[in-house]
Amino acid sequence: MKERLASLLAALEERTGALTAWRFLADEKVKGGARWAYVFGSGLVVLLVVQLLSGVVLAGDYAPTTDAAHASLQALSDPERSAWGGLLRSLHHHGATFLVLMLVAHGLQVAFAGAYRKPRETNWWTGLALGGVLLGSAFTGYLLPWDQTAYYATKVGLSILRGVPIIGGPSAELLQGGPGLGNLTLTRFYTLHVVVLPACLLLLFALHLALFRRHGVTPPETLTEDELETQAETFFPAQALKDVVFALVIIGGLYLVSTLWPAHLGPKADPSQPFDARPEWYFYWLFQLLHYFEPPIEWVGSLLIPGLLAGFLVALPFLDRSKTRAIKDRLLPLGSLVMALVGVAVLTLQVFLADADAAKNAEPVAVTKRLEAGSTAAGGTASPDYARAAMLYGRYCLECHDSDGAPIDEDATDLRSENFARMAAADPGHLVEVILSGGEMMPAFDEDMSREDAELIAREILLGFATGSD
Amino acid sequence: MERRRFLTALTVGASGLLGVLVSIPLVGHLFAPLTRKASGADAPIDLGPVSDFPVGQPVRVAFPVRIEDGWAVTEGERSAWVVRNGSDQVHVFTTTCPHLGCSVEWAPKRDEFSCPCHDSGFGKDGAKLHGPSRRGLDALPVEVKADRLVVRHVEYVPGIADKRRLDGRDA
Repeated sequence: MKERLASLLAALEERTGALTAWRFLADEKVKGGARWAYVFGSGLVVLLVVQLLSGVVLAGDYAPTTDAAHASLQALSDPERSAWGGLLRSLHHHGATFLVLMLVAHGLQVAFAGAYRKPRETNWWTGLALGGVLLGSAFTGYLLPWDQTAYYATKVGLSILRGVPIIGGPSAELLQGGPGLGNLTLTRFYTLHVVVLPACLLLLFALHLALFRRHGVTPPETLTEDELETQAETFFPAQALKDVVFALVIIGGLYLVSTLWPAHLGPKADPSQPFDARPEWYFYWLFQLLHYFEPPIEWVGSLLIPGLLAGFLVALPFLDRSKTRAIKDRLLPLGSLVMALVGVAVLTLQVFLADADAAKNAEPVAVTKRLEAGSTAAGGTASPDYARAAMLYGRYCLECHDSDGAPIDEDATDLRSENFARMAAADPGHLVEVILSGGEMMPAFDEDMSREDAELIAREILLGFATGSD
Repeated sequence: MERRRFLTALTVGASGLLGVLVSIPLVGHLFAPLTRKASGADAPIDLGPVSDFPVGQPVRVAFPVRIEDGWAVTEGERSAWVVRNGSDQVHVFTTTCPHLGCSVEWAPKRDEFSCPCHDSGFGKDGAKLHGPSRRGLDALPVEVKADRLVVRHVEYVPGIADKRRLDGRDA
């Protein structure tokens, strides 16, 4: 049996060179020995494989048109159609966040090891390019659900691009497929997300790995030539085991996050409805930078600072002129890098804090006057009662009921329906009870508001929907 | 050697020709959106009697519009802010922030139009009060015909200092 296997393998080797190829991969010499510090690169690879596989399966259920995109994701996450669709989408959604964090960890490890220095500069640059492609994938993927978050985040992102002199406007229009965001934007972003960027990613990764194998790991600078050789191990299994254990922890974490916080699908994109636009959190810092610079120097926030940061990363191999890789010799370049990262973190945190603050001091939400085709109903005055009711409605009800009473959540009651109108007219007091104690699908709000507030919502807003007078 | 150089030049030249041949329709079609003319449907929309709008209280009005989106022509909805400052003095503004295209809200406590993205503030006349926007709120073309408020829905390019139509039909 054993002999037969051996001769089979020998035949395979003679015809394909498969064993030599395996030995080339497995016997990679890790100078100075395997280390936990080296796991981040392979962590990125594992996360990328998860994104590629989940992405391929998701693509089978997705339709990139403004009509169908949102509905196709709704169907995907319907547990009655598939027990796994929702989880798969959550894994893909949160996988992007894990990738961005892993990218930062990998970059920092590489920077602190001094692996961007001669002779590994080209590998640093292919790594930066890979990072750029990853962020591009995240940005294009964010639009695909075509909910309000996706629509407005992309609109803001493309408007920032428009601000770039000369090439900004045409670039944004090419990406959008026309002057506005719509069908042709979805098809273009979808093509970029599932064909163009993954292809770039795989090519750049092959280059990155080939360059890595050419120069090997960057072991601690304190080890002597002798120690590097005597402590050397082969990639398989010494480093591979560490990589796999780390990957298990990461993927375990991804499953945990995806189970605890399933990916959200908000109301379908609707430019006529107000929405607080926010990009995905790893673009918050760019978004927040725009706050601090008013015309005529707004370009400092939108162009100069991000440009300087990108330039700094690209030029890092040239800026670091120190004699050795020892950290104490590289305090200036490494310190600048850490400062830049702290700046990014602080700006990101600012958005979270500002949003938490804004949620507390919400201004009353104006309820939209809706003009049906052919009708001309408009106007109406806002009493203080109405303003307070609208604010409460905006804070508590808007999660599931749209500002015109239409259901946002599929289980929500349509407040414009005849059934609701009949029920409201028969017993307005019952509305107050349902708001406070909850209903079949509706949560109770008795801890969030007083009976007077509930009465205010019922009288000023809900009866308005029911009687059709707004 | 002369023959070898000639063949090299010929191969490089032929490859270049091949590349150009294949690229022309690819690049041409890719850049087509830049030259495409938008038909820009901006038919007049009747928002009703001016006197229906409260004086001094901005109202967000949603109205049906015809939307051309790639291959699809649909009936969609867009909205605008109507501000009636006097008996028949009316402004209608787009709800789109001229900074980056976020949705502008009326903030009664601060008595201004406010953008939730970067805190640009605009007065009831649309003028910019503060923030990173490079221009004031975009006013839509308005007519008052026999006390009825009639607007045309137009979208403008965000992020730039001058007010320019998104469909490029300024001239």
